[in-house]
Amino acid sequence: MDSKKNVKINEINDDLLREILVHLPPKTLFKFMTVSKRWKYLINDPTFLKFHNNKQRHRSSAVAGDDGGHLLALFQLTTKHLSGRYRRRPSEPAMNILAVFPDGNPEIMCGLVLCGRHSSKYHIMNPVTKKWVPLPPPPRHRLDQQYYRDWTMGLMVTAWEGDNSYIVVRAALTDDLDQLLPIETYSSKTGEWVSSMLVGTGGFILHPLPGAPLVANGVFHWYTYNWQIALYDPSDETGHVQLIKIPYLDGAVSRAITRSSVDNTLWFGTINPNKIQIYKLPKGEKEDDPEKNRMDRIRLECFVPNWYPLVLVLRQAENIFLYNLGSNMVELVRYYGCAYNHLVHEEYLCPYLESSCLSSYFQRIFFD
Amino acid sequence: MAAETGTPTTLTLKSNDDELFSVAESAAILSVTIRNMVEDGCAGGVIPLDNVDGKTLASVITYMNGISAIPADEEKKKSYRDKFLSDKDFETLADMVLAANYLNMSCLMDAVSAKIAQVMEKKSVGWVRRKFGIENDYTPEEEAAVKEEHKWTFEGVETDDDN
Repeated sequence: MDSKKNVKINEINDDLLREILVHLPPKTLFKFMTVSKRWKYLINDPTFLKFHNNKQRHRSSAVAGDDGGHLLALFQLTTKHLSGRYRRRPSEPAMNILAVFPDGNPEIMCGLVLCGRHSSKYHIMNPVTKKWVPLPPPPRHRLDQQYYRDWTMGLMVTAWEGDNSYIVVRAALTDDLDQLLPIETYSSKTGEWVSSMLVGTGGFILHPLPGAPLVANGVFHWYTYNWQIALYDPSDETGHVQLIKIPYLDGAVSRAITRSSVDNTLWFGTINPNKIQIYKLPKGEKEDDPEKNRMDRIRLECFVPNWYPLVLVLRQAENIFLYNLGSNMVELVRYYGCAYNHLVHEEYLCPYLESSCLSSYFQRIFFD
Repeated sequence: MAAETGTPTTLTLKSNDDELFSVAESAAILSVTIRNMVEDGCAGGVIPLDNVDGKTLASVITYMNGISAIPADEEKKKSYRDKFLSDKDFETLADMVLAANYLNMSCLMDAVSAKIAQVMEKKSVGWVRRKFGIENDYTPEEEAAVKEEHKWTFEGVETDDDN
């Protein structure tokens, strides 16, 4: 009897097996990679994982919650992961990721990535098509070498210039408190860099905090040194920069901003070893000030984009926590992939909400 | 064997161990394989189903009759499917997934695969190997490496129970 059963079960071919495995929750699915090489091959296949992902997404709508579904992962985007068809000479240093549009994961959101090396080599890369488009070098500034130590780059896909149009804004990081800031803007429509001057409502110095400026509602949001956020709308030809004061927190170790897609409010969060402060901007009213026990080395990494009520991503060494301000709940995030504390903090970190299958797919690319 | 309008037509299905089953055509055509045979006019006399044994076919026919008696109400159909599959063991489910695939019955196929996955969910890797008749072709080192890579998936409850 038993032998007969085994003969039957062997008739379950790969297609049938996929039909069964697609119903498994991610955790069990990955566990069963250890069954045999054939199973690993079947499961660890991007097409299958996409199929599984769609099925599971359909099944579960909860985020960062039940076993069926969505985990949050922080991934370091690297050009290696995105490389696609770009080949560089062995002598050529790797390009860094300078900006990502939209905030979050460009591969899932069908966005664009700006890669490059200051001060003249920039590429726009589409992570879905893997197409690389080189930008012409920006005009050489006569001050290039003398005063400007570094640049901050912003990338925005612009609705007003038609589909698939984008602009890149490059602003210099200077040491001088000044009301004026020279920038260069590249538009995919004209294919040219244009130099212009930003005019602040007061003096400001852009802060070289990791990552690119937040882009939301067609507006760039940069941090500045003196506890302000500089807002620049590139469709405004006068180059006006609005400065919003953000509340000072003594001993702040990190900060983050987001714009809620629900009510279009700008939120700012900051953290020191004793507390987290979240403010609604620009009114500066204090929204939440949970006094916590001493939180050694906790960093506020970012807000989860487009998620409301607000969810913060906190990190303590290699532990990542989600802090839901709506429910006042803290949840430890189980993630895998590159151990987080091995990441270089200045690299572009990209938070996204997706099912863990996809994140495993990412992991695979990382280590290939 | 043209049916007169209004009178239900009955088909005779034959399993691979030569058992004969009568089933209403309206229920049997849930199987795309059978429907194609009927439409092609091959349904005269007995329809041989070479890949399905009698025990499984009896079960499938119970399902066909049960589900086709339910009017178009997805909720009720779903609860019927859940109930129908609730007492089936792994071997029966495996037979049914093969039968559903051969008979091309997508709704049964989906329900049975989901049920199998549900059974597998809390089981160990060893259990899966045994039940699926799979030989572990990893070397101990390779297996340790794959396990290490997916360490977190091994936390939590799992059983080796046969059911």
